Amino acid sequence: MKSVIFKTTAHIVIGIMLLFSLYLLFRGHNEPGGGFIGALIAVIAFALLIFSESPHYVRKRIGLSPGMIALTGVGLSLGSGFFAAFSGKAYLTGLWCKTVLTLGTPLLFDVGVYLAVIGGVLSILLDLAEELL
Amino acid sequence: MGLSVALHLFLLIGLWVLYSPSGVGWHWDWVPSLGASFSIRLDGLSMLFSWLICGIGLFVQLYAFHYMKGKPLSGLFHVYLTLFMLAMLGLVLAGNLLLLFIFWELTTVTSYLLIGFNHDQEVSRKNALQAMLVTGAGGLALLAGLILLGQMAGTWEMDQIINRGATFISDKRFAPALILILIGAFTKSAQVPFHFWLPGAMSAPAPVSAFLHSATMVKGGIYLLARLAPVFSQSDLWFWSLALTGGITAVWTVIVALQQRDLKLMLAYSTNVALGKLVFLLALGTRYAISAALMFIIAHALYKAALFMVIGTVDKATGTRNIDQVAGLGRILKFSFLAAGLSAFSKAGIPPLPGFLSKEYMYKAALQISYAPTILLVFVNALMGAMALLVVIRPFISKPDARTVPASPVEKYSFLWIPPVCLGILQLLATTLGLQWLNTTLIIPAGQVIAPNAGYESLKLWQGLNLPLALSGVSLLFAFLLFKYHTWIKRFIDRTTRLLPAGSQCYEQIVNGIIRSGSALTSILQHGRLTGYIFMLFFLMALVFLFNMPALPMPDTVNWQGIRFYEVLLALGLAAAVFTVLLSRSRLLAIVSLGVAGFITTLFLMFYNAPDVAKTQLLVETLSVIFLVMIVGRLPKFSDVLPHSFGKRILNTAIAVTIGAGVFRVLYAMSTGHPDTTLIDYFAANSLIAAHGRNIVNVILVDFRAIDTLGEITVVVMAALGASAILLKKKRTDR
Repeated sequence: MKSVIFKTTAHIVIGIMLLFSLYLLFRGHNEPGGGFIGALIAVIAFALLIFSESPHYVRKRIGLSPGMIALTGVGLSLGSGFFAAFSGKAYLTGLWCKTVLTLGTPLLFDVGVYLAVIGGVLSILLDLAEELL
Repeated sequence: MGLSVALHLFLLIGLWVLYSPSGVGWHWDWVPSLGASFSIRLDGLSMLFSWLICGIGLFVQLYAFHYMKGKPLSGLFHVYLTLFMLAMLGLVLAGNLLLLFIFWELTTVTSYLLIGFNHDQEVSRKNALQAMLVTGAGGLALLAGLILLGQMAGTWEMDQIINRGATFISDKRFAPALILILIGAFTKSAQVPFHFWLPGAMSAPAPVSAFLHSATMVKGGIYLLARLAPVFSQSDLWFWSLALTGGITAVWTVIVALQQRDLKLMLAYSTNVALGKLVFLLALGTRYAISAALMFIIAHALYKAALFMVIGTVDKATGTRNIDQVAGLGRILKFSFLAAGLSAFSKAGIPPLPGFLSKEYMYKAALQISYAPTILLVFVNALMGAMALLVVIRPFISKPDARTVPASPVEKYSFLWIPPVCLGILQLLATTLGLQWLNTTLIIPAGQVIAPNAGYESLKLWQGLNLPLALSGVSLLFAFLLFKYHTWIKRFIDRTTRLLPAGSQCYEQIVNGIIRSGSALTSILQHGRLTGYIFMLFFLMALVFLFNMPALPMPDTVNWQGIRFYEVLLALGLAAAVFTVLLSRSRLLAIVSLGVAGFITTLFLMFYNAPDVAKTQLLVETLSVIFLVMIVGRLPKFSDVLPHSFGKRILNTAIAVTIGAGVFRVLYAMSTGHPDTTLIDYFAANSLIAAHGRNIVNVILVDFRAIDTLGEITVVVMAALGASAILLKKKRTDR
């Protein structure tokens, strides 16, 4: 499976996929996309890398442990709700700031979903790949 | 330590400033939709208990300062003790049934930490768990009872419930509520048959016992009974269950107590006795009985705390608590001797100590009713007196013999003797100089809370020569005789009680039974065979469909015109893919076909204008193919696996057909019927205006229903953790 052609194309394609996954994440609020879909694309990209290189290579390149990424994501989503809670609204109410860009706590929440899903699924994928491949 | 002492002093003074005998209350909304509010009620009864809790708590903290010094985690010990004190304080001050229950459970949890403080010893852990399970189970019963009571009253506020209390007796929920609340109170206050956890809790360090047994934990049940007495006391059920339970507890545990050789255990059983007497007095419910009960609560809290501290000091000095091995300590532990003497005299009922006063009124109350309770009380008090003498005379006065363990002079640590001596002096003051004050500020207001119309009079030490005084004398005389011949009596008791089952053994059998049946059930449900799990899941799903089938609409006419040619093509492709999965002899082909079926489903979603769902479906399909490809090499070949038996295949087919038909009819109902569009309209209208997003699916996910999504991503992370745990375990066992 370690053909040079596969390896080289994989590296190129992965870059595009990761970029695309970020694009989907950020446009999600208005166009088809969003944190969950973006995360799945990112995981598939990493899966490609697992097949073309090795699980160990992927772990090394990511640097952070997938579990940490997942926990950061859940923490981010959990935390995004407190902005509303501390300004006297119900927990997780969306707050928006529209001076320059339309930015709001739901985006933060979606980034949390993105990281949690990447971390969670990638963790299973890597463990399984190390066990089986 | 300094902080917790300051907190106790602050609470003592604060309560004193806020208190007025007619009662004061505060109220904050907490969860208004449930009727749960943070309401505080400070009346005579709460004040009596909360002062005892803070006051004794203060002395216990001081005592623990030296007692725990040098032991590991002694700072944590003070924290636990303070937390427990606060929970107990909340319990007696709560003015709302739900709030009361929360504090009730908090005392259970914090007492678990305290009882199991010596967690390196197995017996200590076991007894802590036993105490928590017994009182926790009682807590569940109490919750059910309180809910019934709240439903009868239509409110959770105790003031209103008690005001309307007299009208509940005709309600059919009255008796169940009463029984459930009684179970809760009896487990907490260690009444027979739940009494065994209290002596078990002896494995705690001495300061914990001094606190738990005197003013707190076990008095929680008594407080609850006293607090709810105006609601329930008119019923016969209340009288008989309280009188019988209290009476049996007092008599039985006083007999068991005399059997013990461990000083601390003797005191523990005598706490059971005191609680039994209190429940018994609450059952009588007359003004004398209630005055006696309140006086006895004060007396018992003071002398029991002091005695436990003294026993703790004896234990520290000699390293043993066996009554046969300690003697002649009076010369070495002088101050402890003084405290023990005062406390034991109060316990035995020697004038002018509080124990004597409460006993006087006990007899007065009993004589008003009949001779049966009087005889019971004389019997119990005589045995209690004998025990009090045993606890003091044997360790402190009797001559050392061959078995005696030498004692070290631990009283150089002043905090080991100051608290018990202070408690002893307080007892002396309580009924001499402070009696009038006690009457007007605590006992009469508290009595009016328990039985509002009883017409109280002040307690007096000297009431002339009368029958109660004579009975006091008689019980003291008996106590002395019993003490004199106690070895003979002990042998007699040992012989007669050997055959009776012990409460703790029954408890152990129940707990073991629960564990055994739990693991049996687990091995049936969690057998570890994946096919079994899937079968169970689909079988139940098929059952659900089967029972709901008649409710779903049946297609009658089919609109052939509406169908487009590519839909037919896709449907045929889907069917072909599924049949390939079923018929293929190669696993890889089956997996690929399954993927094809998934991708065709995605195409359908695209045609129905659901790009987000389609995308998600596509990606999930891709990922599952990746996962399956990874494991396919490890799975056995199809040809190596034995095929299912014919009957099993028929069953599987039936399940599959049922689910297929069910899903078809659900889908048909959804696409032809007129679903409720309220939600759809709402989301469509508000998505852009309120949530600034044009993608409704995403807006629902991250804004409208964000809390659901939060739950879902938590599940994803949990699944990942579970998977790594399983794989990690496998890695470890491989090595």
